[in-house]
Amino acid sequence: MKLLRIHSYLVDAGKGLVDQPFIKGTELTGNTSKMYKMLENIFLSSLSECKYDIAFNRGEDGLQNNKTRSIILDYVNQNSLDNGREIAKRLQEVTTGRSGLGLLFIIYGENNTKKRVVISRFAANTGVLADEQSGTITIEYVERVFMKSDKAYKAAVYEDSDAKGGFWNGKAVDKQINNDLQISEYWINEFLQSDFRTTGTRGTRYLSNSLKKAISSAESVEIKEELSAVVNLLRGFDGKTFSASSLLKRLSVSDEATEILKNNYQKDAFDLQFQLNYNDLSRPLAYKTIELNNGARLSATNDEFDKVFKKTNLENNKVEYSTKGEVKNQKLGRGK
Amino acid sequence: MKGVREQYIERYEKILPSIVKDINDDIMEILDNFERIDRVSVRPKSVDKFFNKANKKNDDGSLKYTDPLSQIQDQIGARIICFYLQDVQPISDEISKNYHSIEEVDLIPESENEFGYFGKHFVFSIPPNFVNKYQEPPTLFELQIKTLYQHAWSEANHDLAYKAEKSLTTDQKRKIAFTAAQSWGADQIFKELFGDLSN
Repeated sequence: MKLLRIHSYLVDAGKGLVDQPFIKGTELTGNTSKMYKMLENIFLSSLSECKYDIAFNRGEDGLQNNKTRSIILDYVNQNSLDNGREIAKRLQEVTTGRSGLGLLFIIYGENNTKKRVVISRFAANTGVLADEQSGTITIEYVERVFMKSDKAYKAAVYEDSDAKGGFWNGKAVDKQINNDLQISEYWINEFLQSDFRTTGTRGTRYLSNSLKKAISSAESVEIKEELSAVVNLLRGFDGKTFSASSLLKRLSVSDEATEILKNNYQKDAFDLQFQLNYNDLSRPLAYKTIELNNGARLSATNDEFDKVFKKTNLENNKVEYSTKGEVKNQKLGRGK
Repeated sequence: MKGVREQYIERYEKILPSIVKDINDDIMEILDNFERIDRVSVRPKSVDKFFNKANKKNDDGSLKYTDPLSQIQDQIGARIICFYLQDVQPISDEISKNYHSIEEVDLIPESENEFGYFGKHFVFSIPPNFVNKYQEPPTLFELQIKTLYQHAWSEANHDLAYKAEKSLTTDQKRKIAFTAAQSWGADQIFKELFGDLSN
């Protein structure tokens, strides 16, 4: 994949403004400069660095109309400074004062069969410039410092062979956020008018299914308890974005429990990012049942189990459960 | 460089069967708790049908698809056939929660005086875990949700009217419209009956 063009624009906050400020831009040339090399690295590594699989949303009329995709396609078809400015305008229209000033790069390249466009935004920071001059130094406060870290940026990459019907799917990343749990709504939903290809319902279903199977299939009681504890901890992660693999690391789940969950996970989905819906997760895991080797079986909702059953650890791995309440129902069932 | 037909044959034989199976299994799991589903079918577009579509031309004689492997979105087509009109929306909602759509349309005849094709159509992005392992996979698939009567009419209409080698006569067109009206009417009556009898 050969990098062919880089355009850059200074994009201010313009959300809600009737008169949008004019966006100044330039084409970057000089492919030996450090700046160019840094952007070339971002371009070449974009498919692996951008780990969120996203797709453009349909139009409000239900049809295949997406304004951001259209202007990106215009740029792919003719990578001019003016076409790039349309992408910058779209970003400015959704940028609030909180996100503030940013430097937008649009990087384009292609090979024999594919065209690739990378869109990347670096937020403005402040800094201090110390300059040595004839035995003394001058100190200056600078407000428009970009790339305080060349690793802190938002990016999206689109690659396809067809610049007419293609370019629906892409990948994105937000490296300005300290953890993976909150991908920016501003970048994916508002600017790119996109959403995750792995919907929250799908990702949550995969996680829920695997937890259920893993808890059931684990031979060790400790592993079953560890995975059950994960279900309860996930309540605090409702609405957060993560992959199963990153979640288990974050929760410091043991290697053995991780392995069992991974073995029971939907094929090729363990590293997919999705937004957790705790209600969807907990519904199929609503009941917790414990069987003892004396034939007893205790069952309660997962949320209530530890409240309604008091557990006392005894010698030789034995436990005693006790509970109090009024008898509401009694059932006889078929034997095994 | 392989031609479009050879490229599609390679995709048809090596990639599509696995994606079709993944989507089919997935839809069956999503709809596991739904009653009144007559069938779910997921199929790859046949090589001949793909090639015929790839060669379609615009009025000016130019090819309609300049990059058919990327532009033809129904290389995988899925259908969910349900019993009654009341079933269509809950099924659509559940499927839409699990798949990212780039298109969702209710296809109905243009005029209220006409009877013809009715159905709910989606174009979805194929989930990344079904395709990311392939070098050049399709990225979209089409899904239709229809009632039994909508499905029955559209199949017969496709077979008799759409594929007809000569133009239909006025009477034949009326007969096609009549069967569409009958199907529409049957759906309306079953909708009422289901509403009355299931309460």
